[in-house]
Amino acid sequence: MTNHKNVEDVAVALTQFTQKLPSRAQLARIFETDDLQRARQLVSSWNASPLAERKDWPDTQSITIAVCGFSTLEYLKPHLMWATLADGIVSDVIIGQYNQLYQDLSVQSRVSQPDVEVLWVWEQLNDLLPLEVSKNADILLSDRGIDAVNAAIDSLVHAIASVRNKTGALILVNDFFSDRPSPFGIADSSREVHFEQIFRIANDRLQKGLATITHSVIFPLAGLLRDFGLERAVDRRLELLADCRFTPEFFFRISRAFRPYVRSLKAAVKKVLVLDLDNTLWGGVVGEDGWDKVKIGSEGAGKAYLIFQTAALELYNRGVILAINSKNNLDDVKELFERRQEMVLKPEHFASIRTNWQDKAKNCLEIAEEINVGLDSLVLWDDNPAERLFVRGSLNQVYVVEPPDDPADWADYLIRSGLFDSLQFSVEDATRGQMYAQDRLRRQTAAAVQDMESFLSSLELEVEVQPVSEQNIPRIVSLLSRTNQFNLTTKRHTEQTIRDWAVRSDFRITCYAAKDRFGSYGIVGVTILTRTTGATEIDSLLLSCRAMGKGIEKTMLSVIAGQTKQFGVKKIKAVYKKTKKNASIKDFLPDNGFMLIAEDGDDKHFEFDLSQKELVLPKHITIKQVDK
Amino acid sequence: MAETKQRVIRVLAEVLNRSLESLTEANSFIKIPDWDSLYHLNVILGLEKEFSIKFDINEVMEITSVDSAVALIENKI
Repeated sequence: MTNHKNVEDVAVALTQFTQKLPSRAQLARIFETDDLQRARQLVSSWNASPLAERKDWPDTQSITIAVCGFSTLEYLKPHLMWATLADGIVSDVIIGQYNQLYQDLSVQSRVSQPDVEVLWVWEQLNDLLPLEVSKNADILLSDRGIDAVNAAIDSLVHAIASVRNKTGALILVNDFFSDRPSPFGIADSSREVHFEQIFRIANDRLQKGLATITHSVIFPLAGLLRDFGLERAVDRRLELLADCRFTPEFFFRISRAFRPYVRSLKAAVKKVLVLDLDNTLWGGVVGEDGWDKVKIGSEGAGKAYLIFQTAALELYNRGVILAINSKNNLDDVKELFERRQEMVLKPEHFASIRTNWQDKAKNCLEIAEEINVGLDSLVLWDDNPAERLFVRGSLNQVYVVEPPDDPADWADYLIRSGLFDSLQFSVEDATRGQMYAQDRLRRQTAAAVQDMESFLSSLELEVEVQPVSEQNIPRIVSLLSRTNQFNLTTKRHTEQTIRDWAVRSDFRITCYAAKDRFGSYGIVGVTILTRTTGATEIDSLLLSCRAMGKGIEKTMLSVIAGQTKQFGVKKIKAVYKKTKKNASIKDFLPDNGFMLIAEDGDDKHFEFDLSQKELVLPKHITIKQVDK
Repeated sequence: MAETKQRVIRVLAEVLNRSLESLTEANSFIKIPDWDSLYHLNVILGLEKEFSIKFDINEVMEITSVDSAVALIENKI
């Protein structure tokens, strides 16, 4: 990188650089559209630190990523930095020692420092095998070769297991692929062991090995390579001259595929797919063509829209919330949904329906408000470039997809975007879309009932209090990692931490499942209480936003009071840690009788004395205690 | 010739993220501060894109200066 002579030079360079930067929405678009030309220009300028000062880059987070392996990985660095930045995350990328993967993993090196949140292992099978095997195809494609492959993968897994003890980072490991043809040519298939088979064996072994190591997953490089094409992905000149194994184009694609991992770690996973209707869910304009003429169905172009709807429904079944944002007459749309039975998506799949003539940015705001999520949880899919431009320009936080020109390509594109992907996935997560859609019906009831109290009693709410268990740990970790609003401390504990605490007698990890007459909410709340000297302390207290305002919050406090008494103490300590998103829990503790005892920067320290006051269960809630 | 030279220098400036003025005197790449093999390959890829040409591995090694790049490019276009 450039060596600047003095501080003034640095200041001037930074200012110039900052002015050249695109806005977050523009950057997201560059990655969205495969705008490699523009990406290349960006990649040549590496320093992204002044971003936090820019107004069009709100809520910037940061992450440290370590990459280590056997080849030249410096090329990856700028790509990763820009890719994470497109999601508002400034990354510091550390590249391990060239060709020293095992040294990096085994000694106390920079890549296993506590601040590293992603540790990415880059290796190819050749790197791991002894030369006499990798350079001799007769040996490689024999039983001896298979033994050598298995032994090599076991050593790799062993090294990863040892670094697991030193770092809490998410460990990503690339899978294996053949990057050249079989030396046996057309005779390959008549050999006992085929060339491609070697890589499958290696991948199976790696998969099984990583399954024994927490918070470690395979990065599917082989699949990316297949999609992209080996001839575009590899430039032998770069490989021969610099041991750089991929082209910049493929590094760019890899960096895009890396984004979902970072979003998942940083609680920046998207939650809501906001869909346009005309020329998005069907071909044509219902207001002009009529409900019977729009293209949707099992034949011709209509099939493309049907398959796109099916992809959206698949996301819904994995827990993605669906919403409609369209410029139409509501009656036209209702009629179409009723009469066109081919429609895969039905009104009951949508948690919010904004079909009107106001601008789409305003509709996005109302959708976010109605289903009670942050604007940055929304993804807009609209076929109209003008609408996309408008929403992108007015609402920086909304992620606006640039769909491929041809609707036939949409379904794959939607799934491959990984916008809604999460590393933790539980049964509850899968029904989220459905539960938000049920909420729309609850709201309709609430509007019909005059006062809050009778609405709450009409719900017939039951809260099930569950101690931590093997079954609910995934959901607890998922809630800890993605709840932003009603979250007292926003501590993102890992699965390992929860497992460690679950068996300790000085911790009470509890989760809360709720149901009412409209259906089940699943597990929506988590509390973590620890015993300290003479008191208990609330480590975490959170409630999913769709369960807020129904009294479950107070229920959690009354359970905490009970647990505190079981510990044989009378005092509860709690800290409110302010974040940009958790204003909704700001007054929760004082409103329930907690006394403010100290303020420390943005932290507010509270106490509750159970010998003076009680924390009571709301009248309309029935509680059900589940034993361990 | 002069136009090709200007375009080569512009690619250099873009890849290195430096101003054009700081590079006009640069002839031998090795004299550019912080020059390394990654910059070298980035410049090669940049030139290939700019002129829509391709260098084979021998030519990649021959390009060690603005002048040698210009000569090779002129030969190809």
